[in-house]
Amino acid sequence: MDRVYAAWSELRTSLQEAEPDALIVIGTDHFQTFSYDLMPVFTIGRGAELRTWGEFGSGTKRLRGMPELADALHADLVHSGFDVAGSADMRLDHAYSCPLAFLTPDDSLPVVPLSVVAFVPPLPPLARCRALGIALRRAIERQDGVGRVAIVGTGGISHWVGVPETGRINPEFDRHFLELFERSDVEALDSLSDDTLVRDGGPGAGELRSWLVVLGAAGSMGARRLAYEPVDAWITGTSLVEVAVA
Amino acid sequence: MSLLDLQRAIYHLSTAGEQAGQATDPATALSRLIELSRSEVLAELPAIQLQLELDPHESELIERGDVAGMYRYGVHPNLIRNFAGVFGIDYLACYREAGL
Repeated sequence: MDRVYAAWSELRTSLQEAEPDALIVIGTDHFQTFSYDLMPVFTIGRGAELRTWGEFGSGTKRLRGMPELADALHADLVHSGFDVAGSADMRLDHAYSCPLAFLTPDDSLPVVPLSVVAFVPPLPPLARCRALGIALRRAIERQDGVGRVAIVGTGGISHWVGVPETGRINPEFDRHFLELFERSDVEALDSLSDDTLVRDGGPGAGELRSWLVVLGAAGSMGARRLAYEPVDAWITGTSLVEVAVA
Repeated sequence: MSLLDLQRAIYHLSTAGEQAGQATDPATALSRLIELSRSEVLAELPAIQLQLELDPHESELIERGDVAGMYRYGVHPNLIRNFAGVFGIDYLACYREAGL
């Protein structure tokens, strides 16, 4: 765990040194905000204020959103062929609040959340998620309201939750995925099927879609692993990776 | 009377915030949710109308907090996890006990 916390600290420092004006967080809702009543494949949070759910006793917070950036990105993505939904009141669950607690504990950065469905079919293929990232990058570059934008993708790696195998972690799968991701083997990543993800990484591995969005946005130039640990306390194969930006 | 309505009920029970927190048992929480869904007040607000139709078996799964039964019925595991978290149910222990 010490290595994981140290990696969080390193990422936090790296983020601070980059001096972004806003932070886009790619994550997956866990039946907190979205349900079978409505579950868009991709959703961007457009509110000026973003409430967190505070589940698992984490406490509720009100984070700053950035409507002007969110609206610009939303419009550009739709015009680029991605039917992203927009939510004026998108509450954020632990997929967002946990990483943000480590990266921006003082809530110093306004946040634009982007949700990607990861375990309620039909699921977007990993290639589609990486393509979304590419379109997101272009959208960021085309808007002129916000200067520097950082992007964080959260989720995975292997974890089984809500099922009889809960608690299982698969380091072999995790390390294999990390190797592919670090060298940006997009062909291999794009071809990872849902069956493989679920069989080898658990239903939670579907969240790796967020990683593919970030990789696409960064230009698929590789990544540097800061830490990987199978963390039993979090029942998750946990890794922090910094992505090279083209 | 469907897996969908069961899952919708579980979702609302798990995310009702203060309402879920005040009700320490699933049966009371479900009773309140059903009452709310039939509220004449909500009938005036079509945008947030909640219509639930649960058969006796589905209602019983919730009232008894029968997470193993929910799993066998096909409820999404993440919904079960959330429900179990709100009502303090050790779903893994329940699964083991049920032979899952």
